[in-house]
Amino acid sequence: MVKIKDDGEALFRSSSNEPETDPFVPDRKLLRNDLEILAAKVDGVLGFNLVPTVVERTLKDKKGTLQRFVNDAKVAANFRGENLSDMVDHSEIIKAAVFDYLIEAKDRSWHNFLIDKNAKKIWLIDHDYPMWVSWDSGSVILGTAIGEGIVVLSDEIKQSIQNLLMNIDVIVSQDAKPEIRTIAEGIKKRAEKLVATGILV
Amino acid sequence: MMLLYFVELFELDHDANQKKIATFKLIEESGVVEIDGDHEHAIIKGIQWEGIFDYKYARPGKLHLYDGMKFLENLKYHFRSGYLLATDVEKKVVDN
Repeated sequence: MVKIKDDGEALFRSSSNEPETDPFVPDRKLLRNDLEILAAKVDGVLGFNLVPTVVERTLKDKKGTLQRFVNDAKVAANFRGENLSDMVDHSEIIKAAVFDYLIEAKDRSWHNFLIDKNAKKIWLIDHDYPMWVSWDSGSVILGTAIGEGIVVLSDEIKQSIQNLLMNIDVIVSQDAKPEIRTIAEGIKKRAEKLVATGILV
Repeated sequence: MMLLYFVELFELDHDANQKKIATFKLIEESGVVEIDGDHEHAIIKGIQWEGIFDYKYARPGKLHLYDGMKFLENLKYHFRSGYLLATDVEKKVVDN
């Protein structure tokens, strides 16, 4: 936890603090920063305001990401047993479901997002290796959206996705790591499909 | 004398203060993880009920308390957000 002068707190996650002997594949650590930043950029271009601000920083000689601490929200797993659609606005659910569809979220369990009950808002966190690449437990938010029929994209959301399509090559440059380029290609294909169908399936 | 392996689980409160909510303990010979903490806490109830994925080796299926060390060593990957954070597996010698 890092205190930011006159601007709250932030969570620092190092990309290089794991022992090399850890079989939790070293590549996962090397990609962590890129993946967290990519998630924030995708969210930023979409204009969904779902991912707390993330920046790259070096603290005490360790490279990592610094993400704004959301003090009004709690990990969603604290609210298991309650319906997601009773706790947050449907507009939040469909935006988060679209985001998870686009990134093909593989680890969006109740531990990987936050709920602010007062604001009826979702915050998406943990966009590291298991979310993008290594795991496949899917997204409980996308599952909720489809299960409850919250699947038709508004014109505003379709415009956001069009905006992403126009900017995907800007937020992922040609000199990005090959793994990041591959992920970006996947996002692009799914975005094109969403724009074409206008519906989450 | 025997070895006790343990993982501590912390959560951040509204004011960003870290608070320990549970200690997961494994006595070397028992093979089953026990939990010291508030068993009514939603996070603790959830993990006992649902188990966790095997992030470390990406094996299919879920890990539960009775999976012993495999469960214990995956806690830090399951609780990795900072809002909930598990320590590495630590160990200490305890009396029988």
